[in-house]
Amino acid sequence: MKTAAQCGLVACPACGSITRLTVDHFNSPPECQLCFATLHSRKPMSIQRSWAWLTAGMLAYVPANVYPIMYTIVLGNAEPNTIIGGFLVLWELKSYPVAVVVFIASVVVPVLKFIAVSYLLISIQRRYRHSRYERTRLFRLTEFIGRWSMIDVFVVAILAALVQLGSVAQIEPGPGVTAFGATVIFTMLSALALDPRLLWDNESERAVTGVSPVTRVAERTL
Amino acid sequence: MATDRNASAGTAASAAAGSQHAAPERQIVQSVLSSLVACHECDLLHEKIEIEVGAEARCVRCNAGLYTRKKNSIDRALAVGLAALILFVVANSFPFLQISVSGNSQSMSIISAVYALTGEGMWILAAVCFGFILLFPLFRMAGLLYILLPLRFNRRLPGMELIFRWIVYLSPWSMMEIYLFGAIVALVKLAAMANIDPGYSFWAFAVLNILTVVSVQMIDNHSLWELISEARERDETLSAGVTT
Repeated sequence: MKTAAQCGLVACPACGSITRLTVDHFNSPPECQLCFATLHSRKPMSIQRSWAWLTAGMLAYVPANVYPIMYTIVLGNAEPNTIIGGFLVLWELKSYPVAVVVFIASVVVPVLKFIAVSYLLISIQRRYRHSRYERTRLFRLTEFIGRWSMIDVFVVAILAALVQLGSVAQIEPGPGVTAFGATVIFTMLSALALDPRLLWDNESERAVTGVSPVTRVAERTL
Repeated sequence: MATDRNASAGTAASAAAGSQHAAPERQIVQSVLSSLVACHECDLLHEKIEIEVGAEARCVRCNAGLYTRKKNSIDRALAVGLAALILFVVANSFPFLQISVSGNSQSMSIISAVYALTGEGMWILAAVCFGFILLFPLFRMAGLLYILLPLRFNRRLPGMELIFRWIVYLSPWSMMEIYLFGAIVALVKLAAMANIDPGYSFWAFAVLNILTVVSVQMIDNHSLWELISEARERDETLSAGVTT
């Protein structure tokens, strides 16, 4: 059980092909032989960049909730709608499944993402040794689910495009939607900047068997 | 005779190569390296093994998917990709949703959502949405065809590697399926107060999203990179043969 880094190898982030590091590469990062991407054994400044994007995302989440994400104008009366307000309207309309989806996408996912990425970053910085596998799964979950928050922005854009019925009813996007979009994009960038390999890097070499430094892949029939 | 000729050709080639005597060693290193695969999530090094058709190789430590083997993967991916591109054109040519309230009616196409944001001066958000909904998915579909079509006929086109690399980088930012669910949420929100009809484009877009999911299943990135690498090796040996 050895990692590529322990063997002096580096895998390309885009194509996965493996390059051997030589002395020259200490000065300038190598290029992938196959796809010409710049190679790094670990994402450079992963933790700093991830914290920075996460902080930006948290900051943007404040105006996202304070300012209305859209205005509903019915017969000349403009009514501001906030994120929470939109959820409450759906709940009152008794469309519970959609209300739950909206609530999860706009409140639960961003907040859980702040907590999850912070926890992962702290766990790397404090060199936690326990539950690496569970933390990797948490990382995969945040990476997978984060983009779904964008649904709120799209809902506002679609409503604003569709409901243009002159004086009867009109929906216009509000400043909150830009802030919310920024939150989603910044937290996605934060998850992308976080290198999951750092979760495994402080594992001791206890598992080295001595027969072969290379591990066979596990095969699973789909 | 034949062996003689081969031998002399070999010496001539090595003499021409001159200082490149390290070439065979480098070739050995390359072949060893290409038999390895590092987990992209925990960096554990694995020896690549031949797996059954329809199976997937996974990391023994963190269970991340490493590579798969599929039947007729190029042909199937091409078929699905072509169908997806046609549906993309269809989905963007007809009304997406129609609304009617007491005689007033209004329809929107997919790109109208972007215009609704530019109309309010939200240029940055509009540009981002344009990328997420239209530009990146289109780039992905067209780019995959640009890569797969020549590979199908054992050819290469310039810039394949660059395009595929960007397809990999942009894949989290391609959000057609999220837009579709957004449309469904909007439908439900408005259903109580107005008549909403999904247009042709809505159904085309729904099928397009299914096809996108299917096309991801058809071929994995690792196998595609292997195909590109094989095509390039073939080209390089060909051109080497021409020069010697």
